[in-house]
Amino acid sequence: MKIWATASDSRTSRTRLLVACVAGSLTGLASAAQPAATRAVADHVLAATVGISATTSDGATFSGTGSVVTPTGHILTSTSAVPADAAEIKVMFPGFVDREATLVATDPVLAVSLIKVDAKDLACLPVAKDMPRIGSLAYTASDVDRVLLTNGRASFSRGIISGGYDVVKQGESAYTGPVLETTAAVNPGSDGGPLVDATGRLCGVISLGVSPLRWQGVAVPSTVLLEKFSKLTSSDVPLSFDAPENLADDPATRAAAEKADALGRVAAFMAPHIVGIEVTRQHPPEALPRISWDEFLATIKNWGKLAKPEKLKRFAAFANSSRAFEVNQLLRRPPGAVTGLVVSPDGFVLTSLFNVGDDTAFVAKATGKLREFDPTSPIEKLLADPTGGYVRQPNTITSVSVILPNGDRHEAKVVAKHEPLGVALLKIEATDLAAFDVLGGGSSPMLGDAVAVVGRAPSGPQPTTFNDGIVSSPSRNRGYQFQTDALLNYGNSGGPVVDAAGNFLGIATAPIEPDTILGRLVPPQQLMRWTRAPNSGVGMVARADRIKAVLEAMQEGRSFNRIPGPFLGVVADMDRAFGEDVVIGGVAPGSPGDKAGLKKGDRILEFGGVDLKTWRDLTDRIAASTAGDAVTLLVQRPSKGPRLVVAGRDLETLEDLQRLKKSLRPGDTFEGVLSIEDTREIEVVLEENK
Amino acid sequence: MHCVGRCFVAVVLGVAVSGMVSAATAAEPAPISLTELCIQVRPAFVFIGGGSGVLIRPDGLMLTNDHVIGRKRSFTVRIGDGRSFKAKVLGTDPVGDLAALKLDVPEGQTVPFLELGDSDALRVGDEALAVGNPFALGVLDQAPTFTVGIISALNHTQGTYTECIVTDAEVNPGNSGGPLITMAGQVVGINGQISTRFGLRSNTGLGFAISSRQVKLWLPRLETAEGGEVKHARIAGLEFLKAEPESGQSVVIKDVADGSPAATAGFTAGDTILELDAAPVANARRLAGLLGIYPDGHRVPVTVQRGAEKVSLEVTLTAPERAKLGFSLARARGEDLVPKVESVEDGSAAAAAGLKSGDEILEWAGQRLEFSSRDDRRGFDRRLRTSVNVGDIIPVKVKRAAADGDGEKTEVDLRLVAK
Repeated sequence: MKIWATASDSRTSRTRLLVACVAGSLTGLASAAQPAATRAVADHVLAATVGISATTSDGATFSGTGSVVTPTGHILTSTSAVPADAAEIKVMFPGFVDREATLVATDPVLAVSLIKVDAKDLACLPVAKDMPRIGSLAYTASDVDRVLLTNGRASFSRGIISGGYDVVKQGESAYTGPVLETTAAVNPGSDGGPLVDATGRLCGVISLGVSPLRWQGVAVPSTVLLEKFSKLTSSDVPLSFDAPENLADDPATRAAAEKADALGRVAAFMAPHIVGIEVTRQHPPEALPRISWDEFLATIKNWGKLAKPEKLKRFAAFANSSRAFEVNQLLRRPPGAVTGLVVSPDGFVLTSLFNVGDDTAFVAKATGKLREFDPTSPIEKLLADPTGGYVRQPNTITSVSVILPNGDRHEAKVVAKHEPLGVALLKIEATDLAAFDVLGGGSSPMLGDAVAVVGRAPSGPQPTTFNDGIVSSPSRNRGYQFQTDALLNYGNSGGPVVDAAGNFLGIATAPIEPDTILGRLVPPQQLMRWTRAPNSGVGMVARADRIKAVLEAMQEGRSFNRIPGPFLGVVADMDRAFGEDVVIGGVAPGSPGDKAGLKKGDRILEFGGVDLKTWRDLTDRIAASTAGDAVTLLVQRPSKGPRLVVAGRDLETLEDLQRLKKSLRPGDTFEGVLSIEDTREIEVVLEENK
Repeated sequence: MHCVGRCFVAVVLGVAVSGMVSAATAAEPAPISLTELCIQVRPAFVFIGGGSGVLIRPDGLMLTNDHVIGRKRSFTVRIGDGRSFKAKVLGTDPVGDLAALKLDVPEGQTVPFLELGDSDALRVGDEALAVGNPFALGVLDQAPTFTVGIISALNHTQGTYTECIVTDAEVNPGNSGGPLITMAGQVVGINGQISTRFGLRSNTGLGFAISSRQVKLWLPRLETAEGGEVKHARIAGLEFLKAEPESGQSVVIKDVADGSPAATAGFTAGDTILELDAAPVANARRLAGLLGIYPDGHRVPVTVQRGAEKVSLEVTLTAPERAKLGFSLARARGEDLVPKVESVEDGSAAAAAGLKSGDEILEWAGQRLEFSSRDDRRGFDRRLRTSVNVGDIIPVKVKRAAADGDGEKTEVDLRLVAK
């Protein structure tokens, strides 16, 4: 059975992605539907979304969400909400109505359960007989955090169908096979709940299966259920298949569908240029020591019975440990091919620097072997481990290969890296590749504009994934990047970002990145006390205009470690970044600032005679200068205490005072100044940031 | 997927609008693009500490989360138009996680602001724009982050956030205190908490915002709190029939304490609470949620079902006040951990309830007392001192020697009204 719509082959234009732009859609794709339409879909879906709890005869409890699919009370859910041996099943309907249900059938392979309450004329969801397109609007509903108890309805989220691929066996889900992936919210509690298409039809049952590369919510498609779950299609289950008329014929729904088509064409256009990249490292991810929350949780007895403060303490012990994060995130690159974009017929491939980035492995100091960590041990203890603790060792890349759309695999070389952009350029030996011409097109992102990230699908017949969002900030990291709320993850990092008109906007960088933000002016640890995470909705994209400016140089093998241009070498004092103060929080050793004698705590009042009010004023002034420029800074330095100047003498020490006393005679008068701060001129010579 | 915790979104951020977002005041807001909306609301945003805030009045009245300000009472903040101001805390609600600050705006100047909208008019599916400073990304380049989603749910209870708004607009650490804005440019919520999973402090499509309705109820009190805290309240003097906590069972009053605000309002044993301030009270969880949005001293209308009729009442909500029960327990000795009454003070709540010296307490507030350790028992002693509030009605079952002194002990049910 062919379940995925095939992306149409498109080789017409290699320079621009121009596709039909749907008029009037100024917000994201998902925002194309007017509020009234979204409200109508919400009302329709939430009337048929129920909360479910089940208990087995041995007292184990399960909970999740379900969708009513017949007026007579059939409810589809997952086996993780209602297992095959459920003895007692309770269903909470919208409007605070509790009902008992009985189990009709379960399918352990599909991980779905069909239950029934005794009722008639219930609101129910029609079931989609066809697959929604990648990029089309989608909704999820779930009884997350028992929201039905207070709200009387489930929680509702909007997104798109972002992918269609196969999932493999994982810990928590029994299901393997094709799934629909969505950007709409999927959380604990969503399990068994509905994935609904733009016209209000149930197109999938939310499953716990995820692609490790993508970390996004997935659903078992309704087409698979209709084909394989025989009980669902038996004559005593009166399913309906037609979309509600008010939703099917809604102009906003149609507009959204058209826009989805347009974005779908972008994805289809991009597909021939999207490649997979497999990176092997000295220590493969699966061999690395790791601390996952799940593993940590397993070490805590009776977690469910602990008091909240104790839970918070335990959670903090885990989450606040910076290395737990490192182990969790940096080392936990999921296995699988990541995304790249072919940019020349002879084999140059752009991807994110993160994908080919240097990782660190933690090895035992004594043995040099990979270090195992006891997740229950506090971070302080790990650091002060008497057996020698650990050392960081580079987890070097041993090979990089590129997998072309036709499945051909080529060894690749990392030709150049661009740190401020967050991209890397690979090269494979090939000819006549379907290349995307980065130099030929491109557009600047505008705040609030709709964008989408095209990624390589982990597996299965749909070659690409598609995550939409808006431009959250058009310029970050000194204009090298822009920020989007589209979900960036391990899977689509390195993929192209496009707008609804099909313009190329840039390359998605890392799902996590201790990034450069303002180059050498701000060290990441100061600005980033938090680690961004996959799919957080805070994602950085290397801007197309900046990529174009350096692509040729990178093809010649030139790497860029720093933001080019003049460099002073000071970082902001973040605690004072909000006032009309330009206060130095740190000076890089050996930097021009260091050589000139700038110190932490210095307040820079003027730069070359120009008043400074904010840190941004300073960075703007530096950026507008040229390396080699000698600039006079007016600097105010806080003294350790009040500074006493008497008769022209600076009394800094006791000796100074004694010397003054010796020089005095009875009857002498003199004037003195008590100053607390000290303003001085300091000349610095800006250097090229290398 | 495990939900591992709930995390505050504690870097601060703010949004502001020059003058006021024009779309917010128009009777028929002309549709504007998202780009225009972002640009219009940006000046009213506030960068504060590690989080966010929003200006809601031209004189510099600003909102953020309590957890953004912590114990500090004065700040330097930067607003979305680039200007920097000193700000002082007017009042906070640590439970509801709300704080009001006032910017030190020079005489003759104003700041851009956003109008507080009507969160009651929101419907699930409505568009929502979150403005914030996630991961402190925008502090130095002075550019906040804009994320878009929809209203996912309303009237939700999430920890101490009650009747809160759920949104799938991406909210992350640093968005705390920032506004949730309608497409008409009005502030309908203050973002503050998110759901997390996999041990990661980042968005999972569930953000929780304090509703503008709650903000409006608290603002007059916060503004006059002189930097202090405003307390939450409840209906003092009610005891409810026990209901299944995770169910839709309605809220039935079992008992009313004499002379309490509940008695003054006219509540009667057997009443079923139908509505509070026009909101339907489906179950105990919703009632607790609704009560969470009012400050101490607020008067709210309540509708109860009494027999066949519906009765309208009005009750003053009061902050819990520690009660003195007026009895002491003998020290636990050896293995015997059963609490025994040592003495009862004349004229005390305990005396009025009929508690007598020598009584062994078997049940307290409907709960059988069984202690596994001395620590456990000490916990109970502490609870008596610290967790009983004036007006609480506590059913107590004691075992006492019969009056005729024949050594046979009987169980006696008492009703203790804390005062």
